[in-house]
This record gives sequence, structure tokens and C-alpha cells, in this order.
Amino acid sequence: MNKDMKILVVDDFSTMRRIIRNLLRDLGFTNTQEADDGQTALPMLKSGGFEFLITDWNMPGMTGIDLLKNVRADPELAALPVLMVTAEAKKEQIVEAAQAGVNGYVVKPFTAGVLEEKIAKIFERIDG
Amino acid sequence: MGDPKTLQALAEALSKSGVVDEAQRSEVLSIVEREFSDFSKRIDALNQHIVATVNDASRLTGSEGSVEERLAYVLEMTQNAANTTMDEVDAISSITDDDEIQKHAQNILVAQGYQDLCGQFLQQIIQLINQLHEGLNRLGESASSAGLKAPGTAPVGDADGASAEGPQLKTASANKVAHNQDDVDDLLSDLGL
Repeated sequence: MNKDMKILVVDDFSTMRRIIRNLLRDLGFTNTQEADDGQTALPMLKSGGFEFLITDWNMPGMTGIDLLKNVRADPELAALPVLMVTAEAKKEQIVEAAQAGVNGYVVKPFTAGVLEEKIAKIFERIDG
Repeated sequence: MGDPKTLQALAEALSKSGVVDEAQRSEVLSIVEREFSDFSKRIDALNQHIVATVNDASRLTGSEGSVEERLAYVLEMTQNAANTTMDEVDAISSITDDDEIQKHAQNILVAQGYQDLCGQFLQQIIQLINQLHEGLNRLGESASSAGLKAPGTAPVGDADGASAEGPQLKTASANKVAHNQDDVDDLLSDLGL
């Protein structure tokens, strides 16, 4: 897992963006950027260079699930690892995210340990 | 009130039918008129009640700001408080190498996630109050003009796929909701993730 990889954190709540970015920094990932919904995030992703996407689900504009579907539909972005960090906890939603190709799913409220574990698991699979 | 045209039509229909004599006809008409009048009074009372309720509700949008504005203020206050807390956490983290202190500082940071979760509930409530206001306004307009009409409010949410619903209350539909990260992990592992 490359600690210098560029990571995009997408959440409509600035509090949550700050929490996730700080936790990433504690884990050694300092190359992070943020967006407040899918509409803002998608052009950033398309402009290139991002190696990991962490996104919320429930956002105005474009939701996280639609962002995920857009990413998977774009040949340039299709292989981007995506971790969903969301309060959406209905089983049908988790199933939908999995079917849309999410790499990991963390429900809020979460702990630093859970976030670290899910990120590690995603990159173990990719690197392994 | 007993709409005179309706009563006239009813009287004519009864006469034509020939199944009632004059005495029966006038008895039927007087019963109908009495019931009409009683019903009409009840509708009037209901209309007045609705108009008064709408007025009461609109008082919630008085000089101290609407309920929505006040809730939006709470949202902003919690965000500011969370940011202040995180500023302090950053300050503590930057002046210590003690792992224990760092760990507790990180826990305080993560705990600020309450602001996101409570904020989502507040946003839902603000949206509900907006819909309630719209519904009441329509009801008030109907009541003060043409009597009672169905408000015709459409439930929110979309039909296709899983839409965003925000945080789930612990009591909500137990089986359909993952109650913790372990539930999520179990479900995902069933799906091969």
C-alpha cells in the first residue's frame, strides 16, 4: 500500500471530511483532497491521479451510490478502489453498494480501528 | 345550509316517483333539510378549526425565526463546536509524543462524528417541517375557500433502487437494518466481499 497515494474524501458534512482526513493523516496518508458531493467529486476524479476514493452515501447533488456507479461506468476510473463510509445501514442498501462494485463499507458511527482495518483489507486484496 | 337546488330536485323526484304521498314527501324533505343543516354546521366548525390550526402553526414562524431556521442554527452550532473541539485535539496532538495521549485525542476526534449523524437527523426534521407547513397551508386555503379538499401530498422517496435514508434509529425495522459493523461485514462476506 502506497502511503503517498492521492485519496479523495467525499462527504457533505465538513466535520466528517475533517475526521476522515485526520485519521488518514494519522495512518500516514497525507496526500488527501476533499469534495462535498458526487457532482464536485466526479470531475476531480476524472482529472486524474486519484488512487483511492472514500465516499459518503447520502449527499445532495449527486449521492455516493451514484458517484460509485459513475466511477464504475468510466473506463478510466473503473478500477478505482472505493470505500463507502455512511450512516445508511439498511441491508438492501449495503447489497446495492456491493452490487455496484464497492470495495468496502463502513457504517457510521465508526472507530479509527475499523477505518484502518477496512482500508488495509481493500489494499491487501488489490496488492495481493 | 341545505342547498335549495338539491332540495327542489329531491322534492320533484319524490313527486314523480309516486311512491310517497304529500305527507311523506314533506317529512322526507324536512329530515333531509335538518341533516343537511347539521352536517353543514359541522363542516363550518371543522373549517374554523383548520384555519385556526394553520394560524397557530404559522405563529411558529414568528419574530424568533421559523422552526426551520432555529434547527439550522442548531446544526451550525454543533458544527462550530465540533470544529473547536477538533482544533484543540490538533493542538494537543502536535505537542505530545505520548502514544496514550495521542490515542485518546484520536478518540475525541472520531467522537465528533456525532455532528454528522445528528445533523442528518436535523436535516430530515427540517424537511418534514417544510412539508408540514406546505400541507397546512394548502389545507388552510381549501378550508377558507371551497370547503374540505384532500391536500394531495405525495410521500417523499423514490421507487427504484435503494435511496438514501439517513441514519437508522435502533428501533427501526430490526431485520432490515445492519445494527453495527459486524452485521455489515457478515452481509458483505455473504456477498463475497
